[in-house]
Amino acid sequence: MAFIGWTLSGIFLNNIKTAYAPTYNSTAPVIESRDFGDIVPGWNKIPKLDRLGIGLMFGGITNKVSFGKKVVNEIVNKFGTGSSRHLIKMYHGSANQFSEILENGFQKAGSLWLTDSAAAANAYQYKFGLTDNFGVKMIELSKKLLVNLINAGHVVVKEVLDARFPFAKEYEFDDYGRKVINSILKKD
Amino acid sequence: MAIIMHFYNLIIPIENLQKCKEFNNLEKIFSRYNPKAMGVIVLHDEYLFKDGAMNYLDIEDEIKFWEEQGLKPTKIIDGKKYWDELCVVDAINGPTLPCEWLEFVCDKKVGTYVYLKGKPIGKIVGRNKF
Repeated sequence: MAFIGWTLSGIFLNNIKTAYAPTYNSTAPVIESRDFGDIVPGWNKIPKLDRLGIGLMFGGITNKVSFGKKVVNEIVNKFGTGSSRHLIKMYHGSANQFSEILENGFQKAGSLWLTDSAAAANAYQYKFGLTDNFGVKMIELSKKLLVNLINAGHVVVKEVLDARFPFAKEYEFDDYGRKVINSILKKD
Repeated sequence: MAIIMHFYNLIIPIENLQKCKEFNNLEKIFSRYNPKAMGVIVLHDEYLFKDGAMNYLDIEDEIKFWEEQGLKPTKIIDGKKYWDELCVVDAINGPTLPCEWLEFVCDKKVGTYVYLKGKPIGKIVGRNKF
């Protein structure tokens, strides 16, 4: 099922990872991004505009457009396509390891979570109340960089359906995305 | 019942918490936390307790804490590492190692959530509709 889900979304969204996939159980799942052209022989030989037309014929498939793509569209709509200088603020809250993050960045291999909700990051910062080592780090990413990371599948976006953090989104950066964030932190 | 997932999540069956040296019931466990974290980061249903963090370093601290309390985080089956008496769940990708007792569900309308295998999903704790 997961394979089908990725296949359908892949029609429009080559290599974009989505936060939502069909139900599966706890057997260590791996999110894969698949290029539709890898699955359908000859697909890549069709001109791009024709591919779009074919995709549009499948009305239901448009509903499968990933949340990641929606976020990209939101970012472009909000900030426009002209300037890549516009910075998007993201936050990371730590209850125990903030000095380590400030000193060395996010060095633990694997993915990294950021949120565009300062309130959500604050909640994680104060999880234990006032500890010796808590804080929120704000990271500014250029709109272009974020869009590119999402499009390349290095960032997956998850919508937060919680009234306490309205309109918040959670961004999971993969290991490459984490290194990009670290390079931004180094420049700060 | 089931519990909604955000960022990284540490899941412990409430039954396993009873084995802990000191923090062996929910009342004692809740006393560790800022009351404002209750119902936001710290959640529970009838069978599972959930804590959370935004990075793996914080989660590792929590794993160490529960290990000191007497829980076994992992086990090896046929040479493969599994979560044992607790489980770490990535809110998008699911358990970070295989876990025999946890079901992870990814639902487009609800988001991602977990429940104890073999039990009904029922109400999803931590899901607050607008």
